[in-house]
Amino acid sequence: MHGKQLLSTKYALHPLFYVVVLPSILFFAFAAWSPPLFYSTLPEWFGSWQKALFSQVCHQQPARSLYINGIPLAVCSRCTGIYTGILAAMIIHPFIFTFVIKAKLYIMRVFALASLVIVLDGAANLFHLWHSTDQVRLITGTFWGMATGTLLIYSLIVLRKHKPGDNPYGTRSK
Amino acid sequence: MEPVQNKSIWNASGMAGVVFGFIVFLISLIGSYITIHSEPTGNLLSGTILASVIGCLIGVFGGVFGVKMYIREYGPEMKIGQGAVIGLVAGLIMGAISQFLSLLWPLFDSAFIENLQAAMIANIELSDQLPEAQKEDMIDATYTQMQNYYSAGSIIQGFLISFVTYGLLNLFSGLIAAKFMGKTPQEEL
Repeated sequence: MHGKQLLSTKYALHPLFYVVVLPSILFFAFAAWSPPLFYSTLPEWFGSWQKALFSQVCHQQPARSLYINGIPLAVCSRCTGIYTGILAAMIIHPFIFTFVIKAKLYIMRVFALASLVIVLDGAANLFHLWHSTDQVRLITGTFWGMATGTLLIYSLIVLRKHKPGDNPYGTRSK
Repeated sequence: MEPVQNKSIWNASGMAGVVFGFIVFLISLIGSYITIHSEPTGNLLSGTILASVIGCLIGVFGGVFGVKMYIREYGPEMKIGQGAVIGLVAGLIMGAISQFLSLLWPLFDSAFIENLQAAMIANIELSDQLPEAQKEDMIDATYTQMQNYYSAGSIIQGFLISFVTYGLLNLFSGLIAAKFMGKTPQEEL
């Protein structure tokens, strides 16, 4: 009667995911994308809380930012990709949960590769070896963000504790 | 009966916070002096901005360092939540120390704020990346920001932003470090 135990019934996400991690990422992603919703002029943007919030983690150069309705987002195009990528990983995690549980090595390798790409591209732009477009920065940022988000989710996976009498196999017992 | 060991996170997170708080401040200070002593080129990515981003990237490892210190002190048995708390506390201490030192530094170098403001504005004026109107806005914003360096609002905002960014980033790095460096107990939920 006992079929193969479903991984998704054996493992769960630590409450920290719902209490701290997901709300924080939602907040950061909202803050990154929201300036065009609230401001219509650049001086307003310069004095915004969104710009102040990211001032220690992003260079926020208007020339390297994405614009909506003539107003730059609160972070550069690469960081926009990072926050969006992390949020995307959080949103799609229920669909890849079983894969994430089993793929520790792949997750770490993809994270290392994404980090290498972002460091190389960032350094090359800094030292004027080549000039990446905003689209390339957005894509490399999103790639790194999704890898980081998946790593965060993997870190928060814990074994589900079953109470006596629970059916731990995810199949309906008679 | 084995003696119960009282595992405190304060030593590990305190040490990580203090060490990385100093490092973040030093990197930021070096970046500021690079900006001050460089000829203005019009490149908006000044040493100050670059240093604060690099400082933040390095600062993220405070949570990892805190978890490593905890493991060295008590062994690898730890919960993910403990790693997160170590990272959070380390980040809060780091933010407080780096902000406090940056408020303190202009007392040692009285021309620091003035020189930094002049260097940043000179760079914006020479920039060809922005239209004139945007340049004027940026110059005004930079001037206002530097003039308000010691205003209560500016100080409170600086501390709050440091707490939020360093606190949360180190919380994330702390829980990842606990997962990969520690031995988490099997049953947690």
